[in-house]
Amino acid sequence: MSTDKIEIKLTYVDDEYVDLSNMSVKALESFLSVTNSLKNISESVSDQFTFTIKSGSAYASVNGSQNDIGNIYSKIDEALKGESTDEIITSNLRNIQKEIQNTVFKYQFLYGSEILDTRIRTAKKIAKKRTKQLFENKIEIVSGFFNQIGGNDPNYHFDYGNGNRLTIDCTIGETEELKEYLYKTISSLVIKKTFEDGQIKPVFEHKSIIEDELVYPFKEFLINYYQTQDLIKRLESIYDFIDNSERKEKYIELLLKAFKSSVFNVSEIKTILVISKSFQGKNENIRKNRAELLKVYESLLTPFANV
Amino acid sequence: MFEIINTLNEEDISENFVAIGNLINEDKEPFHAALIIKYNSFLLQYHYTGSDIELSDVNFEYFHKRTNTIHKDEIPAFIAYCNSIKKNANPTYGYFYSGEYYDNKGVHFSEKAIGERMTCVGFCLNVLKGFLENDYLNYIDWDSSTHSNEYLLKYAEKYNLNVDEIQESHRRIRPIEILTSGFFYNIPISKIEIDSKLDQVKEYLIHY
Repeated sequence: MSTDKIEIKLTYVDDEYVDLSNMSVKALESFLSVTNSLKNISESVSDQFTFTIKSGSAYASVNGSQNDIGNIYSKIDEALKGESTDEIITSNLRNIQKEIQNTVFKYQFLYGSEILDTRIRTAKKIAKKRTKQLFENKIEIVSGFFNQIGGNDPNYHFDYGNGNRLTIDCTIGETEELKEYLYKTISSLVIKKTFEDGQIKPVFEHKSIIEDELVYPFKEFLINYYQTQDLIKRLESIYDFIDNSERKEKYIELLLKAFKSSVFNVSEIKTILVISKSFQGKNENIRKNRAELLKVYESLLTPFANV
Repeated sequence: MFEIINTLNEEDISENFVAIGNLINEDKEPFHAALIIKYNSFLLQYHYTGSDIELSDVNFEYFHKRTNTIHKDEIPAFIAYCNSIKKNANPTYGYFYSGEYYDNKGVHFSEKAIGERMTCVGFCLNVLKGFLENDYLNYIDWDSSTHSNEYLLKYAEKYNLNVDEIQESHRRIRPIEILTSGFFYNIPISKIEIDSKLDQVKEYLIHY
């Protein structure tokens, strides 16, 4: 169905017919609230809409292209199914729902000939869908002027001047090695934890220092890695990165360190273990780091159901 | 329930798995081994046909037994690994196996003169060993008596190889043996363990 408007009519309050030219406080409050929510929802979809308020009963509509109106409808539809992750849509629609569910008011809510008020009235309380993961962990390379290290919960800082700085968490064990880089510009391989709602600042966890000449190829690899959505293709890109690299052992060592965290997928960790397997006999750093990653891997596997 | 499954006809596919598959002839005897991979909506065969390595939808009537040596959570890693082997590996057919494996991107990892020569079973063993932390089978349990000495001599002559150097790799591990290995999960799996279950597996296939 396509139509160029979504309409709301408040026809009765307490069984009394509503007239826009002569409204009770109760009717006005409810009507303004619903109209305001409709405005907020529309505004979040596009800024190309106009609005109409008409008398008769209290009537408001949002008007726009069939496409834009269709977009509002699909956002509302999504929220009614409990699938919306959009805070603006869900909170405003929840407000509309509250008014429509109030038996005192009689509302009509129309998308063309589709009667939305019945759906809204009977829908479960509209809530924002919680996405499964509230934060995201990614491997990243950060660079800067290293100017401070210490603390009981140790961390170090990259100073960018004008009070701008980046704090990276590390372990007490790592501080020994890191101290040597004080007052130098360095690059670090870190796990960046980003929180979904953006309210909490990202948290950085140190994994390894990375030599300057390895930074660019590794960054390219990471960009490609995180752009690839399919997990298997992602894993294949690790094989390709190592196979096409001149400095396989160095990158394998960095991968072993970077993925040493239980925040990652078992398949990601397993892939690094498979790739590093044939190198462990000839490279002590790889052997050592691989043994540590193997422990993380084993801790992540839920026990097999025995046959 | 006996856990060997007719891959295409029986419902066993609600969760992801890696299994050892066998094809059987009219006499109900296994003649080919493959790895069967179930991942989401995919049901795949991964095998060495004697000329090519193939990863494709299951199109033959396999019987399979799931292996508990590969966890369902690591199947994406297993498929990525299979694809990487497929890109580079280039096996030659022969009744040999001596603990070799495929490392990243199918580079065949062998310390033995025999190199990349294997059967369909040997291919499965190479793949499994490369993925696992240990040998899948305790392959030395299978000695040269598992296959004819005449084959060894002819093979060495045909490919211009030194008999003494390749002798230690000469062995035959049969498809039914690797199928039966699926009942065990403490690797490396021994020939004694497999032999203890072999008759049951044969019986099952004959009466299927």
